[in-house]
Amino acid sequence: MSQKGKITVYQAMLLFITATYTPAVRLISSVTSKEAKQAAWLTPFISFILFIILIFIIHSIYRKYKDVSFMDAIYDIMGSFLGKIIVFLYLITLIILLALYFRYFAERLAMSIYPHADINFFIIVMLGVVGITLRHGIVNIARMNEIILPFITVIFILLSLLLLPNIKIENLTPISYKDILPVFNASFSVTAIWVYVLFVFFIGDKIKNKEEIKSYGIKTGVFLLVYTVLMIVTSVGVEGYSIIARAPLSYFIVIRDVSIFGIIERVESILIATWLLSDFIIISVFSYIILELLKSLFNFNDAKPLVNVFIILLYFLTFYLAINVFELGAYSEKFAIPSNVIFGLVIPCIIWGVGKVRRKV
Amino acid sequence: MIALTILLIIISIFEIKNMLENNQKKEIVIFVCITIIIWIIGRVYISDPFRPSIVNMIMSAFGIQF
Repeated sequence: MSQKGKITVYQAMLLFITATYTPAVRLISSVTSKEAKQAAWLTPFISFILFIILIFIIHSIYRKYKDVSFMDAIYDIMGSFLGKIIVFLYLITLIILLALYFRYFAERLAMSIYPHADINFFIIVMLGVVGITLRHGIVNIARMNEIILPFITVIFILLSLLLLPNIKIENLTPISYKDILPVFNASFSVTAIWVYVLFVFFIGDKIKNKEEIKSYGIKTGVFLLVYTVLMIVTSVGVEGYSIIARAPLSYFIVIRDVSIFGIIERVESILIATWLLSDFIIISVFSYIILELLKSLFNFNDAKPLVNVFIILLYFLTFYLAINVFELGAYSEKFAIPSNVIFGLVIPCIIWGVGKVRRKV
Repeated sequence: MIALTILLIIISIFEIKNMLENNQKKEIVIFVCITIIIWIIGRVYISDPFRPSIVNMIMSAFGIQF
């Protein structure tokens, strides 16, 4: 099979890591603090175990279905009719998630640095950029991401280092056996974001050397574990769980207090730049996956004719999704987290189990 | 609403022309269906932007208080 127009597992994992950055910054610190309080920084360890299970499932499925998409694997394992229903449910879930990220992208800009701006402007600009990017395919997005991710990582590490002196150990302790259940419950919010790795592997037919999924998956898991723990430790350690749990942009609030040698302040603008880049990647990747899902569902040869109309659909869904940012927040916490865990972890487990019983995996 | 309709017609003419050149007849039918669905969603939103949102409908359907 032709390797042209395909990305490597390594590039796919990089796309996944960048895609997790924006929801992680927005959601993880506050949601985990609400549930697990000062023990919030332990939650990624539980999620790491679940992530590794998911990686093993993806690896196991792609060991058999080497050159097809995850949708084709679902059709073969579950049967064509049930498979189409499952893929349709994934399509709806991903469209709503994409509209959610689009709206958050604009609302966050308005909340943080442009309080009087019309979010319509941000949405139209981003839609234009994403529309152009989608026409050039996943390879270009992956190559762009190879520049974007190191930039985000360096900025994140620098900001974390600047925050280290402000961390108060009493904000992260004490930890006792009573924290086990809250930590376990809070870990679902982290897992809900890390399961996006499955969505990236939906386009398995566009990914080569899939025999390396396990090896790169474990490395990615370790990377995510380190950066998520660091994010929670710096947020909760500096401000304390009660403030972080209530703040809508918790990590932004923490970064706003950073000062470099008392000379340079207001470094949060650089955090906004990393958010925008991560938003661009998650929106582009999810849009690409949705177009591939549509292509698979309706047996299209090429998804490019759908790009323009899809962009218009996205514009209306972004506004129609929620009236205000409070609805978005409530949806993220109360519906999107359980729904992501079901679609990203539970359903793949069921598909893998059925595949084992039917000796297809 | 008129702007949306004109925009969708222009895009449809452009894309259908390309699909006809590539002999993608089945794709044209599905493309037209998807375009009509998008037009309906656009019309529903434009007619009343403050109607209950999708989030509101989903949360109410699942009985989630917010």
